[in-house]
Amino acid sequence: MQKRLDMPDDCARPDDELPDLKHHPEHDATRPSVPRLPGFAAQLIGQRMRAMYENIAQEPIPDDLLNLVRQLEGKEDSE
Amino acid sequence: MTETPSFGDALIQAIPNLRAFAHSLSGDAQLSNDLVQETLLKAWTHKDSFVPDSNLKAWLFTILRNTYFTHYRKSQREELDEDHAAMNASVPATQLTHLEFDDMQKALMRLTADHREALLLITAEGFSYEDAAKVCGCAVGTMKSRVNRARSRLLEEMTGRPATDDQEPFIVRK
Repeated sequence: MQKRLDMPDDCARPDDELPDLKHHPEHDATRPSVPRLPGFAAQLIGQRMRAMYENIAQEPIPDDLLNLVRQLEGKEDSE
Repeated sequence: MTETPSFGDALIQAIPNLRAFAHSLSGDAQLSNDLVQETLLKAWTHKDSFVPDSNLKAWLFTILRNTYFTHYRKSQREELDEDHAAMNASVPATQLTHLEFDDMQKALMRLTADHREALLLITAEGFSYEDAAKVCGCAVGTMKSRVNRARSRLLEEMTGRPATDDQEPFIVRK
């Protein structure tokens, strides 16, 4: 049977990590809704997050990750 | 005529974003490289299960986030939480414009993992709500709710005051 990659390795997270749709806080009707942030606040958060994210994404790719893919390709080609 | 990139080339092209997501999600540079390495291995091993012309990035992100949650569960969760709490205890409430990248990372680590990944996928990575919901295995409405709550929580962490409907503008200091 093919292993599903869209599930964690053991196909289940423990109960305390699995979102409980019935009792999840986000689905609790008794909980007050979260106010929408003013546009400028969401925009500032977005700008800062993207800057942080792009800062990491622009780092050079570590050689071991590049080599891993090339080795996998080479191994397949030789088979 | 352009040549179709190989699967390996496509993986390499995705590495920078995978590293950024893994680092932002885990808060740990070394762990993020380990997560990306494991993601690449799993993707290669199971590449036959990838549907051609579908969203490779979303597929890879799904593998990575599930790898992270598997690692997160296997680790001693209490220890991780204690480490993060200790790491974040020194972060003062401050104005958003004064935050440095590491402060943003620490504030992010104070969010729940579900909220953190939702915010990263939508705000930083630019996924649609539909694709992000598929990556996380939740409903689109849940994803929207998580992003909204995560933004509010992050703002609280960074400004030291709760987000409200009638919030006054920040004092933006130069």
